[in-house]
Amino acid sequence: LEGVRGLYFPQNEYTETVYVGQPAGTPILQVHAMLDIDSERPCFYLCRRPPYNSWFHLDVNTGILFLNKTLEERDFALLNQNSWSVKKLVLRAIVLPDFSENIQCVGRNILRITLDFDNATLPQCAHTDLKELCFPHRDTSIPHITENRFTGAIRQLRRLTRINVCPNYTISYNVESETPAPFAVNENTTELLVTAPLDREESERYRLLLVCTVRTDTVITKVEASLDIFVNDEDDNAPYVNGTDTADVIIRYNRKKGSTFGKVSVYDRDLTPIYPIDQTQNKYVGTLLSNDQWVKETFDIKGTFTEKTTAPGHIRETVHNYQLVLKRNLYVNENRTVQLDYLVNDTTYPGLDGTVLLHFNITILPVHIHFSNITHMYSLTRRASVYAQVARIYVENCQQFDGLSVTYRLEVPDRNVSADVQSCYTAISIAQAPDEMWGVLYVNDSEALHRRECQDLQYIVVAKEEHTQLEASTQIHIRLDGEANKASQESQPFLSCAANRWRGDCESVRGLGATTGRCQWRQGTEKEEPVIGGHERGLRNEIQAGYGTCYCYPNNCFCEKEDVEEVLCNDMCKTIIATAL
Amino acid sequence: GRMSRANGRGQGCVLKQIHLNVSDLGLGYRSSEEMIFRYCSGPCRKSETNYDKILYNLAHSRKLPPKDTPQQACCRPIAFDDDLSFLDDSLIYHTVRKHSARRCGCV
Repeated sequence: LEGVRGLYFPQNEYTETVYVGQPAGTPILQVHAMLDIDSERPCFYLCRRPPYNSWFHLDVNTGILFLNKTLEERDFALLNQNSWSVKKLVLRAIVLPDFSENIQCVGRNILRITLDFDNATLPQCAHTDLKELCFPHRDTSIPHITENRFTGAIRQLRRLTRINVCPNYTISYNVESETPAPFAVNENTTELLVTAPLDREESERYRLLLVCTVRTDTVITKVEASLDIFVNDEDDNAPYVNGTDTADVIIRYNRKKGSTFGKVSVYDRDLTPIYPIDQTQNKYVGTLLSNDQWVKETFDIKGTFTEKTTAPGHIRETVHNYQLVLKRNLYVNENRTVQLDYLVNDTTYPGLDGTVLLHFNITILPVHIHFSNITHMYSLTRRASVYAQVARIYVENCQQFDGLSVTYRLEVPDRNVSADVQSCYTAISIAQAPDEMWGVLYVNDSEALHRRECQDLQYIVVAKEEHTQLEASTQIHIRLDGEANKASQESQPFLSCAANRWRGDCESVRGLGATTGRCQWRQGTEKEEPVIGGHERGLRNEIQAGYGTCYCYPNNCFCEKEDVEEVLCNDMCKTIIATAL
Repeated sequence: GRMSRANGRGQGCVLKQIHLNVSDLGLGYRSSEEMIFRYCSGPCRKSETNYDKILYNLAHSRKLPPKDTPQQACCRPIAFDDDLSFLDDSLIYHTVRKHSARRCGCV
């Protein structure tokens, strides 16, 4: 049988208090182990380590921890701990499925017993709260019971150290719960029992109310304590598909390596832990069922899983998602239809039908590199500055392209022209837009725009796909508007528009990149672009927001609000001072 | 007498400080966080050189073009405080650099 782990402790921590003067032979607490196989007989052993280990004795069959010696004041003093009135004794114990001579405390069946050693004598009956008599005052350990296992005792409810404190009291326990729960109390042993195998897929947690009834000659008192019991999961459900086991995938413009397509979900009512990392519970293994070399080189399946809570019972379950992944960039001319089968196997499911077959119907369509228009007409003013953008040019659907790249170049159609006219063609160049798929036509030589012999400019733009070298071309027609002048007329040099702080300056400057030849003033209300002064940076470290007017010199930018300017002495103020002097 | 004379001699270009809200800086940030702003203030007569004297004389006798009058020595930060980080009212962090003086000098 798969999944056998051996005996396990439903809780791996116990706490109790011991006192000076408690005699040898006093029972302190009882530990319990649950069976994983019916034939197991739990045997309990203390792990050897701390010197005070010899003060205690753990009964190998019952799991009851006894005092081996009478605790004395000097035992308390002997403990090399801090000087508080309570010292901590930590014991470790192990459970084995059979008697053993050689005890090695390794593996997961180790529990921790923490005893608070109080430097006082056990309180008398008159000084003992009924709550203290019934339940340990700080017991935070929560029992966990594995589903599909055997019935048995989980916990001793009596406080064994207090059994003889109030000999005239009769103490009994019972268990209650709002919803039916397979738990009961064995009245003879006062142990809490699980009375039926549990199913995590039915209930993950049971909220129990433990009721302790204390009877004296005259009074019956009930003390209550709540107890949560959690159900541990094991792989007892096969994977299943809810709806379709097939994904139809069409690949066209996104041909980039690493892109994912389609999604098929496989459900499993079991949990998939993410820690520890080398988990084997509910472990899924997927296999691509294809012998086609092309398919193997091109596609992969990526599996991820998440946890989801089912609506009615708030029971957690696992959803495995499978997506198609491109292992390489696809060429633009690849054109094919394939079906890919993927076998998902829940390897830890002990039954026979722990697999699901998924299908991906994949259609790869080719991408045609072509321009939508045969001819493109643009107009450009002759006053345009160098680097002014004339137009964007792109092949069809280029905005959707991913994983393929198109470069653009300019060609002059007719070379049988005079040298003068030939030189006009230096006016325009094309640049590749970074990250994008288009080309930018820009003014390369602004003087050529002014020459009388340069009239309408005609070019051919050629787009070339990088891998296949497939080309497409279109005609570009640029009409020059405005009057032709002597080229040397504008002697004013081109400056950066960004360095202008005031509107008047800005609009009178021949700025680089200005389509009209003049810089353009942008008046915003709250936010503009900016480094010194109040600002926010964008993702590319650009000025996403700035306070006031932002202007930039080649190496730094300033964002300033108009009404705080002129505070420091500028050229104007210097002039005034100088004149006054 | 001696005390005040000693103080008077020390009152050149010195570091002063003022307690402000970040929103008082006039940089457009809205935040109720507070800070100590340190600034440089005071005359720089003591560090005047012959250069400064000549400049003053030339400007006074109008032998320099009016536009060209260079600045006299100024009390300015020669080192800045550590960066200032604060959370604004929209719960966005900002860091302001070179915002407050650490040491002053006549430059």
